[in-house]
Amino acid sequence: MHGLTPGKPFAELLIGGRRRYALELLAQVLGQRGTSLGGARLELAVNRVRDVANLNESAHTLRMIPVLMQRDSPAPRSAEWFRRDAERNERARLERLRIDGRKSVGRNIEEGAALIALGFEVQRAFDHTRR
Amino acid sequence: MTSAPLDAAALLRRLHDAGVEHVVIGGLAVIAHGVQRFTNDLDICPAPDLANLERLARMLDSADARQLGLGDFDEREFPFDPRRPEELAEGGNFRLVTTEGVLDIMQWIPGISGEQAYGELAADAVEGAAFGVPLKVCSLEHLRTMKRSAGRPQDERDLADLATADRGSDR
Repeated sequence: MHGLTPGKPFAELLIGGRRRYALELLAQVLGQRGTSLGGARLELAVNRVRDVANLNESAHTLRMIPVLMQRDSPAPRSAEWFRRDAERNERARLERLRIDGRKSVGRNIEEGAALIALGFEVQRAFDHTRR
Repeated sequence: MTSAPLDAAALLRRLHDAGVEHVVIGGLAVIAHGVQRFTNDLDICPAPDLANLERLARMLDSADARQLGLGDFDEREFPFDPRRPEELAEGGNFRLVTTEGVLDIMQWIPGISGEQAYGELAADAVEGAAFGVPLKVCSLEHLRTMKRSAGRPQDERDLADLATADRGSDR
């Protein structure tokens, strides 16, 4: 198995240059569950996870995502901060696409399968929290 | 009917172990070509010869495959049973829930010419290996053709991202 595995923490996606993917993953998982979550709130949740994430505590981190989303917001960030952050995210996303475009189909499928498994893990974490 | 989370490794291994000739298409093909995104199903186009469809039917039976997305219809009301090779051979498409997630059997694909799509897809497929098993993934050009024909918002996003990934590729 190359690259990411399901056991690695969600936080690693955020810190390891795949933050945009992490956001998309969360949005897609939530969207498939029919849950509407505004971009800013989703951004906030991911930021909170990034702030507290411990790379050695994957299960704990994963469970924290829905919990953190329900907590109070931190101090508001400016529109300029969000604009620059969005630009950084988009640049990182495009760079990741170029990197993954150079990998073999087999390696991409192995990494993709691990990320899909992680997506279902996030989904289960949401299910667990809502019960 | 609820479906198990997609376990792409297990499904690909199951197909390989059963000797099912197929080409991977859909979301996992998008991923294979460098666009990592979430998908909850595995789409394949099987070789249409009866011997292969017999192997596929046996594999579906072992994976407890049931038709999905039937709405108000009962599974028995549908004209074709994918666990019967002769009914698979009618060339239809099936969306199935299995013990390892949702599996789409696609034998007729918009945008791909020919009565059976497999021949055209297999001729240009990219060969590789994942999870220790060999596999064939549809070519980037065929994937783009299928995405253009489908034309859903997700397909448009995939096309844009595939273009970026392709610029980084030296394949």
